This record gives sequence, C-alpha cells and structure tokens, in this order.
Amino acid sequence: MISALKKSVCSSLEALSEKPFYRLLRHCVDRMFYDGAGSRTGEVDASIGIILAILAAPGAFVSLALFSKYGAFFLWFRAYYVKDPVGSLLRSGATLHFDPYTASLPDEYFFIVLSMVVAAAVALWKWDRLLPDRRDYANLAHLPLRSRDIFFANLTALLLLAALLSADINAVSSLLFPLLACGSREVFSYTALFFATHIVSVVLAAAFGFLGVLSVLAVLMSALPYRAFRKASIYARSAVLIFLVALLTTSFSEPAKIERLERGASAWSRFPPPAWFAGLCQSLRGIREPLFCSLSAAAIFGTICAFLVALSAYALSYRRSFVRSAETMIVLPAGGAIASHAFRLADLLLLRGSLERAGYRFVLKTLFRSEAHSLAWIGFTGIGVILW
Amino acid sequence: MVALEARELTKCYLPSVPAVRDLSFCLAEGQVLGFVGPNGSGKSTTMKMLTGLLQPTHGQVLWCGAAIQRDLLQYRKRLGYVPEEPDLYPFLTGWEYLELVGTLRGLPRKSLTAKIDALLALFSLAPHRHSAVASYSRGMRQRIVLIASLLHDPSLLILDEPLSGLDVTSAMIVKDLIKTLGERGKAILYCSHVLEVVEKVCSHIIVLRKRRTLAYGHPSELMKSAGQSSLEHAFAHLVEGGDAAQAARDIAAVMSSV
Ligand SMILES: Nc1ncnc2c1ncn2[C@@H]1O[C@H](COP(=O)(O)OP(=O)(O)OP(=O)(O)O)[C@@H](O)[C@H]1O
Ligand SMILES: [Mg+2]
Repeated sequence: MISALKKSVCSSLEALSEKPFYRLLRHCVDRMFYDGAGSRTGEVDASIGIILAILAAPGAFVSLALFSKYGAFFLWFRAYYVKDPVGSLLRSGATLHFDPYTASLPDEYFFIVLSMVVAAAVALWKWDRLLPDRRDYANLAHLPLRSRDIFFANLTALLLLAALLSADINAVSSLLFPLLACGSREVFSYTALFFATHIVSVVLAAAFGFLGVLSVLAVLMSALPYRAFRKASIYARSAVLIFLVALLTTSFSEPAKIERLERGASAWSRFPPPAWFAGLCQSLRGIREPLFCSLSAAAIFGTICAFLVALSAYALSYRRSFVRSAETMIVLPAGGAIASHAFRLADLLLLRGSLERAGYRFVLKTLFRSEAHSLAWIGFTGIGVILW
Repeated sequence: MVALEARELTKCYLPSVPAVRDLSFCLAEGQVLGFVGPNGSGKSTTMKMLTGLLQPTHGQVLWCGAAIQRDLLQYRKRLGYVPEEPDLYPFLTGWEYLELVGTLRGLPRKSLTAKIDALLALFSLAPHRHSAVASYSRGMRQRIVLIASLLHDPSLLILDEPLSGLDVTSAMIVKDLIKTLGERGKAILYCSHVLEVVEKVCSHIIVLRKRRTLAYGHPSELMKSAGQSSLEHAFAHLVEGGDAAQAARDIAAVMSSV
C-alpha cells in the first residue's frame, strides 16, 4: 500500500518535471541562486546552504540572548517576580503583572526589522538575477515557449525565493521567541496567539522588504533607458543599502518612541516601515490603541501597495529586459566617471608620487572591482559605523 | 517546395541607419543557402530576424507561405538555431543544458536522454558531460549549442558561424552533417566566413555587403560571373576587398616603423 503510494507520488513528480513549464520554473529558481556573471565575480557568491545558514543565524542568536530577559528562572532569580499559578506573575505583595505582549515590543520590533532588512538585502544582492538578462534571452528566446510562460516562471521563482527566505530568516526565532516570551504563562492559547501574530508580522515585513527593493529595481528599469539604468544601478543599490543599515539602527530608538506615543493616533507617517508591522502585531494581539490601529493600517496598505507596484513595474521592466533584449541589451561596464574624477582630485590634494598614485588606484579598484564587492563594502562599513 | 521566404527585410537598430536593407530570398526544402559577407554586413541581424528574435523594421519572414509571427510557437518547434555566440549558463553541466533545452521543447524524457547521450558521444563530449559549462572551452560550448539545435530533428536549421572555435575533426563532422541534412530534405541557412566550406556544402549563396544583397546564385555561377577560379577570389572581387597580400605587407611595415 505504502510502496504503491510512494510509486505513484514518484511517477507523478517525474511526469510534472517533464512538463516544460515546471522545468522552466526549476531553471528560474536555479539561476537565482547561482551567479550568472561567470567565474570572475563568482567568488562573492556562496552556495545555497551557506547563505541559508548565515541568514538564519542572527534570529537564532538573538532569541537565545533573550533568555536572560524572559526566562522564568531569571525573573525569579532577580527576585522581581514570583510565579503565579493562574498564569500571571505577581510581585510579592503588590500585584504587578509581567505582560509579555507589552514587554516584548522592543524585541518584536527588532525581529521585524531583521526580517525586513535581510529580505531586502537579499533582493539587493540578487538584483541582477531578479530580471531575465541577455543570457536568458540568448538561450530561451528562440525556443518554442510563450514569453508569458517565461514571465510567470520567473515571477513564481521570485515569489518562491521570497517565501523560502522569509521562512529561513524567521524559522528559529519564530519558535524560540514566543516560547521564551510567554514562558511565564501557562495558558496555551496565550502563547499560540503570540506565536501566530509574530509569524504574521515578520513574514509580512519580509515580503514588504523584498517587494520594496523589487519595486525600486523594476521602476528604475522601466523608467530609464537601458544604458542609464546600468549606470544608475550601483548608486540606487548603494542608496537602498544605506537606508537598510539606517533601518537597523532604528531598532534601538523606535520601540521607546512607540511606547511614548502610545496614546497618539494617525501617527504612522512619523514611524519607519518596521514600526507599522510592530503596530500590526500589537493590534492583532488585541491591544486596541489608536496608534497601533493606525500603524497596522499602514502596514497592510503598504504591503498591498508594494505588491502591486512590484508586480506591475516588474511586468513592464520584464518586457523591456527580455522581449526587446536583442535590440536594447548592450553590456556596459557600470560607472567609472565619478571614480576617475575622485582620483584626479586625490592626485591634486594628497597623492604626490607616481608609485603612491598607482598603488592607491590598484588597491581601490581591486576592492571595488564589481557591484557585489562594492555593496559588500558599503554594507560592512555601515554595520561598522552602527557598532562604533 | 519553398520553406522559408524573406521579403524585403529591413532592420534599423537606430532610426534611419539600416543594419540590413531590402533583403529578399527563398529557401526550399533540401537547399543549403550560404550567407557570406564582410564583418558588420548584417548576416547575424538577418539570422535573428529569420528566427523571430528581432522584429524587422520593414518586410516579412514567411514559413510555408504564412508569416512566422502568426504562429511563432509552431515555427520555433520546427526551427533549430545556432547563435553567433554560445552564451550558455555556466552553472549547468553540458548534459543538464541539453536536458533543459530538450524538455523545454517538449521532447519525451526517455528518447531525450538516449538522444543526448548518443549525440554527446558522437561529438566527443561524453567524458565532459557532467562537468559545468564554465569549465568548457569555446569549441566545447559550440558543440553543445550545435547538439541543442539538432535534438528535436528540426526541418529548418539556421546556423550562424557554426564552425567557429571547432577543432578540425569536429568541423569536418559538422560540414558533412550539413550536407547530409540538406540531402535529407532539411532547409538550411548557413552563415560563415570559411568560404571553402561554403563552396563545398551550399547549393546557393547570398553575398551581403554594406547591408545589401550583392549577389545571389549557385557558387559556380558566382565564380563565373566574377571571372575567378575560386569562391574566395570571387568574394574578394565582389566585395572589393582589395589586395590582401598588399594589405598584409602594409600592416607589417606599420608594425616595424618607429
Ligand atoms: N544590438 C545592436 N544595436 C545596434 N546596432 C547593432 C546591434 N547589433 C548589430 N548592430 C549593427 O548592425 C550591423 C550588422 O551587424 P551584424 O552583427 O548583423 O553583422 P555580421 O554580418 O553578423 O558581422 P560579423 O561577420 O562580424 O558577425 C553592424 O553595423 C552592427 O554595428
Ligand atoms: Mg555575425
């Protein structure tokens, strides 16, 4: 019985993989994960397993670090609270509730920022792979495939990638964080609600981040001529990256601001996007503050907008990049003009000897030899600045 | 029977600068039509218009009497195309690439696998079939593209410099293959700079120059009309290539000048 079932599942999977659309879909997924630029820039591209492990790590470590804040043993050890059999914690004598929903807001905010920033950073990293390129055109366009099918296969692959990433980034923290935060409560439904609302908000935040970057890419690609787009690409990516690093820094200041403004309404515009999702999370948990209602409306509206803009601009830019590829795609090295002006200025002001000039040029050109290398530099510098 | 017809094909990449102008010809089943011309004369542009990859600015491409745009999918099912540059996915192995192309063409899995294995062996790629394309030489990539164009037994083959990068043995195989396929009734468009091969395999030749058709006919007719004994000389005469030996001497002189 089981072996027959296994056989039928295997044969139907095999039949599915023979279908051109599913083969195309598999190919589109593959090309998103593997570097298409060839061996020269391939060194920056790690394998899928390593990428997934790296992306999952921050959530896991931060959840573990929260043990000291929420662990019942630590609460008891600090002699602040004693365990209450009904499920709430009472300070000896006075009735002081330790409410995980309110107490966890800063951590919830951090997980939301993390989820959003990582999803957006991956979209930024895979920027060149999100749209079909010259190579796809050369290999697929002359085959008997509808361009509609190629478009949907690529789009499905994109959404699968986004789903896989948000699952990966949030996998460990979604399990550990609710268990830790609600460890002091013995009512299962309380933890379940915490768990569900946490997952909804971090997944929506990741979707928002990913779709937001995709929208920027697709709008630029549809609005600019191809050459201008290639040149503007690195600047746009750097700007988005700096914005993402700035978002990371908000996890220190924003939660306190949200707590202070708890009574204000229609204040969503004063908060960065992660705060919208933190508000959504609190609203879903039944905390009926006007601020949270306003923030959650902004979160839902923002996600829908990001989805619509990304989808329509993606369809437009897809047409530009693929259907008219043979006429418009001329491979150009990006940028160069600004760098050469900067070097000339440095020659005038700082670098006197020819060896010095050549040395600086060589070192800087090597460090910033591709868009991926430049972005890695900008990202790490930003993180360094935050830590400092 | 006429399989493919080009009617007054014109392509302008930039407004009012034609890359190909008013090109017309017919290709019958069993015919091998050679496309020759200097660099930039518009051969590859023509090939791309014939495959439907480029939309002509004016003119039409007809397959069995109907415009290819009317049923591009059916047309592409019958078409095998070898592009000028084999720009393959570096992360796929040769075998995987062919499997991808075959599956996307809707070929049944069993016969596809057998065909890929047999063709890889015949093109001496069997030992490398599971290596990534990134590690292939130019000629190996060219062989993969050639196999990909043959997998579905097409009725029309459009070959844009199929011998480039191939070693002597593979080039000989491909040369004989083109001849054999022509004899078997396939319509073949063969674009090349190797005139000895064009002379041997093509039943008709089109010479392009400055985006226009300069001559069209059987190789022997072209040689006769140009009053030359070989196609190479006839070509040089037709495109006004000048004295090649003199040009070579001039280059050497410039190189050694101080
Ligand atoms: N994508 C493009 N954009 C603009 N112009 C182009 C493009 N592709 C080709 N051209 C121009 O069209 C003309 C014909 O080019 P094409 O590639 O068809 O020549 P060709 O005969 O195949 O040359 P070769 O023998 O070098 O392969 C050339 O002048 C070329 O500069
Ligand atoms: Mg060419």
